[in-house]
Amino acid sequence: MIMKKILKQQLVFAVDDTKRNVLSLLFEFVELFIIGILLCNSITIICSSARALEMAANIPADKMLRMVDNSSGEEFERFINDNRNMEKIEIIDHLLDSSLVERIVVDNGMSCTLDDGNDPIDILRINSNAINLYNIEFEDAPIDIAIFDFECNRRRIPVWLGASFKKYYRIGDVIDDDSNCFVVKGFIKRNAYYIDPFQSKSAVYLDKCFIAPEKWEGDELIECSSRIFNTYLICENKNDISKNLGKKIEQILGFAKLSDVSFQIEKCRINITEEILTLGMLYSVVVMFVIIGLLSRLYLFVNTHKKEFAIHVLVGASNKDIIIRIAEKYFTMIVVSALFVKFFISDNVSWCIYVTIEIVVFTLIILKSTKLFLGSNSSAIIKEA
Amino acid sequence: MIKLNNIRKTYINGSDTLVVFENLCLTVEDGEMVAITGRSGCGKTTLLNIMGLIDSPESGAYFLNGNNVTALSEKEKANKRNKEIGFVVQDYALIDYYRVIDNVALPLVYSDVGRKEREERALKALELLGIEDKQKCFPPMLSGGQKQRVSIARAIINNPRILLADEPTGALDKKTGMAVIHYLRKINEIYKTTVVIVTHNQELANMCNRSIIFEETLKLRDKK
Ligand SMILES: Nc1ncnc2c1ncn2[C@@H]1O[C@H](COP(=O)(O)OP(=O)(O)O)[C@@H](O)[C@H]1O
Ligand SMILES: [Mg+2]
Repeated sequence: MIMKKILKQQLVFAVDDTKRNVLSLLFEFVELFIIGILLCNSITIICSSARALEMAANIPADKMLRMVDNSSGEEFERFINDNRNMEKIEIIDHLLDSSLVERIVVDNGMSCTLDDGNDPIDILRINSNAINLYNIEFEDAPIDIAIFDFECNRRRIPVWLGASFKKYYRIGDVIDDDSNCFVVKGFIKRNAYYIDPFQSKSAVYLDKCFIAPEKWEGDELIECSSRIFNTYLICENKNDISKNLGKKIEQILGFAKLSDVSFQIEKCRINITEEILTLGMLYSVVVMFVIIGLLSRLYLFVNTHKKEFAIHVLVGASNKDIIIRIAEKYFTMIVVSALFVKFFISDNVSWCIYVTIEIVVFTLIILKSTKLFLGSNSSAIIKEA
Repeated sequence: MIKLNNIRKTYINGSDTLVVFENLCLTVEDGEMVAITGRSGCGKTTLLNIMGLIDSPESGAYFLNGNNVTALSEKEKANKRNKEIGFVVQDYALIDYYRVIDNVALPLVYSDVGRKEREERALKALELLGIEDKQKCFPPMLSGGQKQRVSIARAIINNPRILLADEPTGALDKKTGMAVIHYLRKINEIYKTTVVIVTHNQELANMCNRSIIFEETLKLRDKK
């Protein structure tokens, strides 16, 4: 009851103060807001990079081989324009599917354009082994990933959409591209990724991609070749396989080779680590700014209001009243900035970290001001002010 | 009534201990108007701060209006400052960004008086000090004498039984200073408020009905 009265009393002062200092308060909010957004984003990115690094570490690089196209561009061009080569591709496809090796396919050779003016969206054609290796997870119902290994009907290609499409599509929606027709089967969990050291130096995120089964009915020579040259093999005895299978493939197709990828994957790991370190540094700097920003704000606020507070104490306010006044200001500041940041940040974990940091600093501020006002008498503060 | 018994006050600065006063005894009766004089740095402000409950003695007992207030909690002291004591200081202690009337009414906020009554009473206090026309102004727009009158209005708004003034004329010219003392006398006469004034100015001290001189020996010499 008494507490409520004090809260209200001090709130009136705080509100008046806000009215007098609208601009500087606005500035404080903008600053807190920007710091919040930066902090949340860097936490999110660091978390997913850390997961990507973990995955890169788990990829059995020492057991991996990759199909490589050693042709000159012209040679390959000639090759795919000659439909008689389809037979060769089919044989190699068959060899790669042999039970001795585990075949991973992530073919990013396709894209589709949804509306005029929008960037084309990558459609990754992948098989179930890739889903297992990169541990790609789906929202909602568990799915039978064997579906990725079957040839799909080109008029109803099943697709799973990256998390950022969740706002625009629902399961069952039909998406018509000029040449193909896709049916939305589900959504990929946010921050899913795969690692392809030949395409990118670090993890490739799936949030803005579609994924679909690797084989589509009526695939032409170019699509079949693309599937072949986007193949990794995981095998127990890498040397034997690269000798035997590699030799056979080379005999069929002069410019195709099986090649060792441990070096590239190692490089990819180093890149991801560097990325995390850079972001970690950015993140620490941002955290420091949050803390320094809030603390210096306290220093400023208490300093510019020292005389006012001391006079309040002189005429009958207790230290508690003043601390409540300070607390009210910071509480509102934190609540409002946290809500604003929440509006732009969907990742709850990083938002919670941001709010926690704010609350810790808030507590520090209150403790510090408590000490300030309990430690000195008001005449000393008046003199100083 | 103010009754100080064997008050000792020290300031500790690192390893140095400065004894401001020791075994200080002083009684101010209800309705008295007392001047305290003494050279600068002898402890007048410290004494007034102890009387005003914004500083506490190291030992000794302080009776304010018959109650021992030496060991009161911070909150109880705040309440006594609010209701039983009015404070006037040399540099006025006004909040520049509050209107004059809000400055004057401030103690009433902590007495839980409603906004309307606060403004009415503040206006009355300003009238008594003859500056009701400045109620909507902000302190920086006022002259020194006017500011000091505002601060006196604030000091008396809650009808305290004791008014403490620390060099109230220190920053004013002689004529304005006299006017301020005149108002303090008026308050002492009308409301029978006990007034304790710390001053450098012997002329002002002589206008009070009792004058106390702080001496080197840390003893008080009382002249009735
Ligand atoms: N907060 C403080 N810390 C240390 N010494 C102080 C403090 N306040 C006052 N003093 C010292 O105490 C003595 C008395 O000060 P004060 O009461 O302000 O004297 P006066 O008001 O008579 O000029 C002075 O020597 C002063 O330096
Ligand atoms: Mg002094």
